[in-house]
Amino acid sequence: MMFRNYLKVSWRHLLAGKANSVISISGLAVGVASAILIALYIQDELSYDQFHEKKDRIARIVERIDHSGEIKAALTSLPVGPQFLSDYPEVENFVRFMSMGSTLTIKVEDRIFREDRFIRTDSTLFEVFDFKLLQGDPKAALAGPNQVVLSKTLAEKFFGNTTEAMGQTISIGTGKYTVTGVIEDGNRPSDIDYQAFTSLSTLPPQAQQTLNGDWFRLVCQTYLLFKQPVDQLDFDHQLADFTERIIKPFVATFGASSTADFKLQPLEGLHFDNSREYDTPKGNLSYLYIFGLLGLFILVIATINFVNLALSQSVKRAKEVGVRKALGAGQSQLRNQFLGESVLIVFLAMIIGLGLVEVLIPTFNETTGKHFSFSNLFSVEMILTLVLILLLTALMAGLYPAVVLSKFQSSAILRGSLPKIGRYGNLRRVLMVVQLTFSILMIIGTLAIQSQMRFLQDKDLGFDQDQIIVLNVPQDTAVFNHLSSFKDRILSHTEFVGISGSQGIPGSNVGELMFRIEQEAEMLDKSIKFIAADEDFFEILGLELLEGRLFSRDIQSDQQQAFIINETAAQSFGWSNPIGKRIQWGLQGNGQAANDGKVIGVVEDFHFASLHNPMEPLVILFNPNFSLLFSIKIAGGNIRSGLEVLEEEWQAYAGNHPLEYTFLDERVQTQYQSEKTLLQIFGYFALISILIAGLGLFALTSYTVEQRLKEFSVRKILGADLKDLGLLLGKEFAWLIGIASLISVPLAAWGISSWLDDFSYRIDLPWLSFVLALVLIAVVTLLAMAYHVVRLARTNPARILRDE
Amino acid sequence: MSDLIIKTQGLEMRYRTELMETLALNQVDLEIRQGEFVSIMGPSGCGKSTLLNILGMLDQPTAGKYFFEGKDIAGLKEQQRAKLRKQRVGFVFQSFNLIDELSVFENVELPLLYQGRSASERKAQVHKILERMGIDHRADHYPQQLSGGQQQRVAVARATVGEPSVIFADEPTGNLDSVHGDEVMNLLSELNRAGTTIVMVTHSTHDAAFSQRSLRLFDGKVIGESQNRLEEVQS
Repeated sequence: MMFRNYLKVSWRHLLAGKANSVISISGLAVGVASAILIALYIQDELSYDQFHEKKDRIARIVERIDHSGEIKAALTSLPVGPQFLSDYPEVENFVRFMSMGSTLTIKVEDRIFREDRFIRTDSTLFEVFDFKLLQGDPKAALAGPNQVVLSKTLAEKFFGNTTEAMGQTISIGTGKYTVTGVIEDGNRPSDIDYQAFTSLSTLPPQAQQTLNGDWFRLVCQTYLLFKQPVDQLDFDHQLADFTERIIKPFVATFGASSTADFKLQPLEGLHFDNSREYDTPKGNLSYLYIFGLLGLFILVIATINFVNLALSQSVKRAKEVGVRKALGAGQSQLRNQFLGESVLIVFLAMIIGLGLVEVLIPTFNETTGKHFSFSNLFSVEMILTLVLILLLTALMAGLYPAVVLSKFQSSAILRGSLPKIGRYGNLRRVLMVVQLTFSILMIIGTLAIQSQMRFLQDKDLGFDQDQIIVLNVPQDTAVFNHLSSFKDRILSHTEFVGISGSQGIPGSNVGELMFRIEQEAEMLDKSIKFIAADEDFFEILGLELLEGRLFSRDIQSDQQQAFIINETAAQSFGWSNPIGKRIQWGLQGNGQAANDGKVIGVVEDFHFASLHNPMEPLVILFNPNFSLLFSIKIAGGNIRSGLEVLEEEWQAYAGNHPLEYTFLDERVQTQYQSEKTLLQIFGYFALISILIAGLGLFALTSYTVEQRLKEFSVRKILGADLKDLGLLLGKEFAWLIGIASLISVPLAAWGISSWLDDFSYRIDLPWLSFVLALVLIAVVTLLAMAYHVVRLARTNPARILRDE
Repeated sequence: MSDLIIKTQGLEMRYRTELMETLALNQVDLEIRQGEFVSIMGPSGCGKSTLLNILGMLDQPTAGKYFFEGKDIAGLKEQQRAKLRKQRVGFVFQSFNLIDELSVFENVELPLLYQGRSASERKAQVHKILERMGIDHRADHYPQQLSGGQQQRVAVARATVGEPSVIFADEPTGNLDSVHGDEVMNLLSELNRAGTTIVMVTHSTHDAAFSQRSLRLFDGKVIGESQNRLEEVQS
């Protein structure tokens, strides 16, 4: 009943100050919506693989090998899982995952599909992880060779529905598989990203035998299930023991000095471990912190508007406070009233904010690559988060006004003398400085990320990337078996200026191989990045030969005995005259090398890896018969017709195998996808925060003008003009901006430098962005102020003074 | 005397500002009995309102003793004073001090809400008092829709609805013309006849004549006292 009375007063106050209410509630709604989206994102990232019931007992085991060059892989060799199970009683089970490749040709009757994310795994999958099998028996589904478990979506795509799929046969590449199960779609956040699982036992016995005997061949991810929750430190000595017992004797069989050791990675936090090579895409914990801060900033900026509104209304509310006090309301009762009011308004803002979230989710999904839906908001965690946001915001927004208002002396107010809110002027200034600081930080951040991205985009990577189509050549297509005739067909069209086949290309994962290179006294084993390519590779990419010669098809021996290296390789191997230096590869158990040759040329460095990485040594091998990719250069302006011709030629060779291609420049850009996402999210939220802060500034200037109306009127009568009034007001805001800059600039400089440190190739601190951000903020403030000054100049000062 | 409702001894009120100290009340001793109608008179700035605020327990004196219904107020916490206010005291102000966002009915209902009365009781009580004040037909209006006299009647209704033992009135007719002013004074006299003690601050001798006794205040001190013959004024 008393509550209803409060509600009425709050509601009628909101209606009375419509403009202010709209500003503060819409700002709050946008702030809350941003915070919810960010919370969704963070929660999603934090919940990776947290839905498995046995998550506390599951850990991934990873292997580091040092074979004249260190590889810290996310993978292990095949026998690691079974060996741990048999050797250590605390291990209850294991499951391994082996990718089947990036694009697979799936035949269902006479239809052909191109799919990815098919994973070979053990039959223990369902005992360790909580993936739900919709059809089939979890114990039997992957127990035998040539069995496949399809995701619901795939089953429906291939066979119409899930029941129909059971028992059917599909072929994956050259192998035939029976559908023995249908599994739920991988909708829950997991690093095990699948469309289908096939039984690991499908591997030919020969291959299994080879892999099982080699502790250095990193082929699969291995997860262990423990009987008790794992204590990593406790298990460490078992890992050391394993190296001692198993790896040392194995290394001894081929007399090398190599070593391998193991590390246990508990499932918890695994999603943020970026330290391993050959891993599935992982999250970035520091981005989560950045996003969390962004959300908090926006919420604070919006909340400050609300506090300011409440304080400007406090003059009007003072009488109410006085009356209520005279009628016997205690201070705590009043405090609760105002706090309750702020909960109510924040709740209102939250409802509107939720509506905004519903509208924004598709765009947000597109930006982040996630698959959120509105129903994600109704998880227990999310509801708790919402309640937390509600209470936190309401408390931030309501506590101060509540305390101030409830302390008003009723005796003075009731005599008609209004309390001097001027006393709270300093607080308002502090709040405004906070708003300005956050806004400046976000603008600088956005501009700086943008500068770095532009730098990455514009940086000369040392190779041509324009007008080049990269065509996938699956090994099971006729194109792969007729590489040179396909090349000739392509070159016969005027749309194309050149074509080159290779096994790697800048912008994709370039492989690494064990080489043996010539040093002063002996040959040294070393793991080095490599690309296998044909003779046209250099021309298509515009690579510059510094010394020596390129590969030649006419020289038969080039295929086994010729290597071209980059400058960095020459330097890092200490070769001042690299031409003629010996390189071997294809190292065998007996210490012999299958290929033994010499460096025939050195090319200028080009960025085959992303600019996150420093330049590394690269060896280019000559292999015109194994091209998994074709890079085709299109003549200027002919992209559309070029693609049409390409499609025709492809079909002539590959039949109904779909044509898969990308553009090289796009491929290169995908290396910076996570930065792009960061930039977009940062940009959106910076824009939002500037908007909210701008609205707040507008309301605040309006209030300042109102407070000083009498002073301004007297000054006007004494001869002050528009300019003088502007200066008077401007001086105060200039101070505030100045202080905000002093706080934000060092913070921004520090934050941006640390972010830039992630890149091997980076811009210097972009001071221009700092200047731009400050100018932008100054302009927004000026605009908010100008409106009020002009309005002020138009009013008749005599009228205002008479009203006093 | 057992029917003393208000008694002060050596009441003092000092205001300190950075430059000087003002003594708003200086050694005020006074006694008011149950059922009296007392007016406090004096020029502006003499401390009338300060005294009224202390008597109404809105302010605390800086020195001296104040007994309300025999209870020492000085020792009470704000919460306890708030409790006394809502149960025993009503206020009428010069500037009415109605809450603009609440209707007439809701304004009058407020003290009963703070007293925690039930909805049906509140409704009955509010309508009864509005009827008595002759403004029942305005129950759903908002303060701005009423004339000054009507607003002050609502304020009086609000002050009496909780059936307080004392009503403190601070220049209740100050914002009203003489016709509406007399209406309000008659209302107060009526309440007084029904048994409510009334303490009123005024600078108008006309209004003071409605009271039984007038205290004269000057520079924070009680400098005199006079008895009025109510019957004469009313006739």
